[in-house]
Amino acid sequence: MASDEELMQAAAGGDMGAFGDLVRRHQRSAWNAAWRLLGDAAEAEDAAQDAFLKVLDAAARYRPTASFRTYLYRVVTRLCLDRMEKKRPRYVDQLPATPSADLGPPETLARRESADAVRRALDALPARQRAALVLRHYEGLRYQEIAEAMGVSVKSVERLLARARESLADRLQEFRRG
Amino acid sequence: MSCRNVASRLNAYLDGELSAQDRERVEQHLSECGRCREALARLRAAADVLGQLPTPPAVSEGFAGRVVARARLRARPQPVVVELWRSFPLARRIAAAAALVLGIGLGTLMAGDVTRASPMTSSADDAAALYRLDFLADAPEGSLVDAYLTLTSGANGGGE
Repeated sequence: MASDEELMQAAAGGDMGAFGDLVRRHQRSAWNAAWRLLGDAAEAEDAAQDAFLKVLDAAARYRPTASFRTYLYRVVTRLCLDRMEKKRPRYVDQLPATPSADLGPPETLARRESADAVRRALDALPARQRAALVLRHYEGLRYQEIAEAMGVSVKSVERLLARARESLADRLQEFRRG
Repeated sequence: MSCRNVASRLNAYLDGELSAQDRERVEQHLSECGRCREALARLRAAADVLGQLPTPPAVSEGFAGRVVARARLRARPQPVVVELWRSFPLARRIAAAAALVLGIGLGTLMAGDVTRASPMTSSADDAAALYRLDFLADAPEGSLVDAYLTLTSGANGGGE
C-alpha cells in the first residue's frame, strides 16, 4: 500500500487515481473535523472538499515535515476558521425548538437536554477556542499537532483549551442550576 | 509547586502533555491541595460532557468521487476566449458586463419607442411598412436609427 507521501507525489504529477486514494483514505478525518467545527453538513462537505483541492494545489510543494494527517487538519482547520469567523456555527439551528415530553422516559429527555446544553455551550465559544477543543477532544491531536494545525504556538493552544474548558464549565454549571 | 503554577498546568496534566517530572510535581501538589483537586475535577467534568455530542454522520456517499471530479474539471483546458476573459482583472470584467447589459437594455428601449411611435393598421400594410422600414420614419434626428436611415437611404432609394 502506497504511503501518503507517495500518493501526494503521484498526485502532484497529475495522477488523479492517487489523489482519489488519498481522499478516500482521509475523508473521514476531514469530514469529522469540518462537521464538528461548522455544525452543518452542507458547509462541512464544502469545506472538506475545498480542503482536499487545496491539498492537491499544494502537492508539488508538499514536504512531509509532519504527518499528512496533521497537514490535512491544518488545511481543514484554517478553512473552517475562516468560515466560522464570518458567521456563527449552526448547531443550534439543528436543535428542536423545545424538547418534547413525548420523547420517552425522563432519562432520555434529560440526556437530550444535556446534549443540547453541551451543543449550545460549544456553539457559544469563540472560533479558535472551539477549534482547539474539537481538535483535542474529537480528533485526538497532541498539543504540538494542534499548534501546527492552527498556526499558533503550543502555549497558545494551552491557553485556548484552558479558556474553552472554563467557559464550558461555567455554562454547564448554569444549565445544571437551572 | 504553588497553586498558581499547578493551575497553569492542569489542562496539560489532564491531556497527558506534561513531562514526567512536571506530572509528578503536580500530582504531589494535588495530593495536598483540595482547592486544586476541585479545579481539576471541574475541568475534567467539562471535558467529559463533550462526549455527549453526537457522532458526526457518515461521510456522504460519493464524496471522494465528487472531489476528484472537481479536480479534473479544474485541470481541463478552457477555450481561449474563456482564458482571455479570465485574464482580465475582475473590475474590468464587471465593467464590461455592466456595459453589455446597459447596451442591450438601451437598444431594447429604443426599439420599443420606435415601434410604439408608428402603430400598424393592417397585416398587408404592416408587411409593406415593415419592408420599407416606415416604422423608423419618426426616429428622432441624431438618433442611431436616424443615422442608420441616412446611411441606407442611398442604397435602397429611400425604401422603394
